[in-house]
Amino acid sequence: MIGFAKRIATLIIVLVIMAYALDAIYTAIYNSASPRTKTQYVMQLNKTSYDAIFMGSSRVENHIKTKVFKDNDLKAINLGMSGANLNENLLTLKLLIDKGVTAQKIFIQMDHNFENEAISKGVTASFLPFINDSVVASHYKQQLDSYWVNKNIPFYRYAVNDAKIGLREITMNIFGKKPRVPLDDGYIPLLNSMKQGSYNLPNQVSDVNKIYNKIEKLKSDNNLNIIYFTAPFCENTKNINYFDELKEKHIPELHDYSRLFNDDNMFDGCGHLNDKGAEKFTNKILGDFYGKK
Amino acid sequence: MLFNSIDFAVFLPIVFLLYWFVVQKSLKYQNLFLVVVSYLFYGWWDYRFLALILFSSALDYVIGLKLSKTDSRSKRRLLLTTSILVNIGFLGFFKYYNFFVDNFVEAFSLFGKSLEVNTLKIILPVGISFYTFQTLSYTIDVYRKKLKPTNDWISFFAFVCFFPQLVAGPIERATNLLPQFYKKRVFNKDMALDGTRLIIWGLFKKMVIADSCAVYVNSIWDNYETLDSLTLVLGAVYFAFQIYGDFSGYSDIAIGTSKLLGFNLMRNFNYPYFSRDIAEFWRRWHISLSTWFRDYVYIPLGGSRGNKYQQVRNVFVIFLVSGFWHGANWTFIAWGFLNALYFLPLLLTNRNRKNLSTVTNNLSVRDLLSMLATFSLTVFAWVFFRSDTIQDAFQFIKRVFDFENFKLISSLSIERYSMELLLLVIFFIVIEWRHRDYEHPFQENKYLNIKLFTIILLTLILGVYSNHLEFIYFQF
Repeated sequence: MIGFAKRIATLIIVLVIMAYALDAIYTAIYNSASPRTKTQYVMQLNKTSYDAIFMGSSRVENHIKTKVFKDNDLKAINLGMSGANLNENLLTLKLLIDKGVTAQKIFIQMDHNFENEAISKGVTASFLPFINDSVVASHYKQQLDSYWVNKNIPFYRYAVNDAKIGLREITMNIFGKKPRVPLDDGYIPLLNSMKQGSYNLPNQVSDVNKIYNKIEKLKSDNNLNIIYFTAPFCENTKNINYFDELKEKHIPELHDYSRLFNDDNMFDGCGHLNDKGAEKFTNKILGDFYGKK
Repeated sequence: MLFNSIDFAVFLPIVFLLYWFVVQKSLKYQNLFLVVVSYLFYGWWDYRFLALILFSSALDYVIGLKLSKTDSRSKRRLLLTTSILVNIGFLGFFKYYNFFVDNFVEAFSLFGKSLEVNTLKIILPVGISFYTFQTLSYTIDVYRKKLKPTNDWISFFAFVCFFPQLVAGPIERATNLLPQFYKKRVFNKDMALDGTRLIIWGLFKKMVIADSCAVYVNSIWDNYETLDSLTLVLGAVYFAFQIYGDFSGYSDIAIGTSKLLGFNLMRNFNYPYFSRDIAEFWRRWHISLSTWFRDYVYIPLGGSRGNKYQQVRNVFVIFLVSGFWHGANWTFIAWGFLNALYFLPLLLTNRNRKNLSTVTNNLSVRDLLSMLATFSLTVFAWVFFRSDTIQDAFQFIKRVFDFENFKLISSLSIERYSMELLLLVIFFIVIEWRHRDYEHPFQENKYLNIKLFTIILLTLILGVYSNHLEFIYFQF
């Protein structure tokens, strides 16, 4: 039995050493490689200044055509992340503050994500390589059920999120494979035209959203110029007056563009603009907030 | 609890330590302990079905004893029939009730009659297909006087519910496993080490090979209508490795776990994809099930004796029943039927026992072509096994052979793997080929530590942990 125990102990020690080594290697690569994701890009930002920063979900990522800003000599970045909830926007905001990134205006998409306080599993995975960062750690400590194992068990987070931050992604980081879009731009166009889409919004607004309250607190503590806006939906959207209620109940300063377009040719799907619609929408934002036409 | 779960990773060491340090002094306590932990293991899935396995165990235990107390042929037949009817009855009800109802209704609709028959929301008890056959092997062998019935109910219950092989085999014979419960197990270091290494190999097969292939296979099958021929062929090949890695991986973990506790289970897979003909394939694939059907169905029907009609009949019965055992769907029956068609020519020309030894290193072109041909036939049959309906299977195959649909570069791209998966599968084939004279790669002592650590490393970095996939054969 002692001989057996020694062999098992050897295997366990080897396993633990491998886990620690792999964790260190993966983390070092994510921290130092040329960024391939917006999360990596944000983590590597340092004292940069923008005219406009956009944050939200795919309804920002596919809607704000940053080139339009550049063509008008304005420095803008699209930090919209597909699948991101308000929770991830809050974390991104905290990181930007921590890294000394400033912006004349910070646009945060606000739509029915107001009903959701939870973290997004997919986007959270992209932040996990940086769980030792104090801002990331403090953000997830109270919110991530598996926080302790992700923080303390070496390599656990990479194994469990292998599809997002596992071997394939690490290999692409090592070989410097370029990201899908330039990350200093961040806009991903959708190219189809919708045919007969529809969307259902909730029929009432929640009484409270703690994440929104935390964003508001950050706004006042750091004197940030945060602008809440709602990107367009197609005409066939049920309960579109959700945003009227949202404005009335919680965000009177909400810039509601939900009914901006009634032409289905502007949309890829009922909740997402195509490239043509995104360009028009971005120009609208530019005009409304920067006086540019 | 799944073998590749944190729950099992905690459960097994606790069981191991208690088994060898607390209860090891007494055979009775060893067996009783195994009964308790096995029921705990089974109840973890769904405690409601504990009653079912308890009842099956109690019934066959009693029937075994009654068989020993009578020489009356009619009484013995009645007892055996009772065991078969009750066990198969439970299996039939839980597994096939809705299938028969749906097909009954559909058959009537062909004649223009609609029937209002309700199907039931039946949950299939995990492992019922396996432990039912295991207990039946006991009553049949006792009936045949090949085995003395036991009056030690603890040993018998432990034999039926033994947790490493309870939910997905190997389907053990009472003649092999039950006697191992009559003797106190003494810790054997070599056996335990071999078991540990087999568990590691099984985890690699499941978490790296099977689950990586599964990601592609699921995506291909969900979108087959829009994919090109080559991608579909690749999907079918990946499924062949998914099901092999999954099932043989599970068996390895089951056998390895048993070795840790001092038990020897039968081997369930013997490198089936290196078979040179279908008969050899069926001697190497799911050995416990195929031998069960051979001994308890095929041979009683006459086997390969009798006239040609009887031989043909027996082959079709065995493969159709085997297909049906896998699930209540015509696709499994079609899979079985195809395998019967493959097997028949070999049987009728007396070539079904041609390749009895493992293929050698001096691989002839003929052997290589035979292996590829056999593999292709099995992959073709796997399309039916994997598809949800017969129509889907035929549509899938039709698209494969639609040459307008052929593109040299696969149109499928999935985030996780494309060419890497193909390389991984090839790597796996090379490892298995290299070690085909052993039960697993770690039985060869050459470079043992390097092999072990490499496989552990590969399991860490290539294993699919994010999408916790159940073992395929749990659904049977």
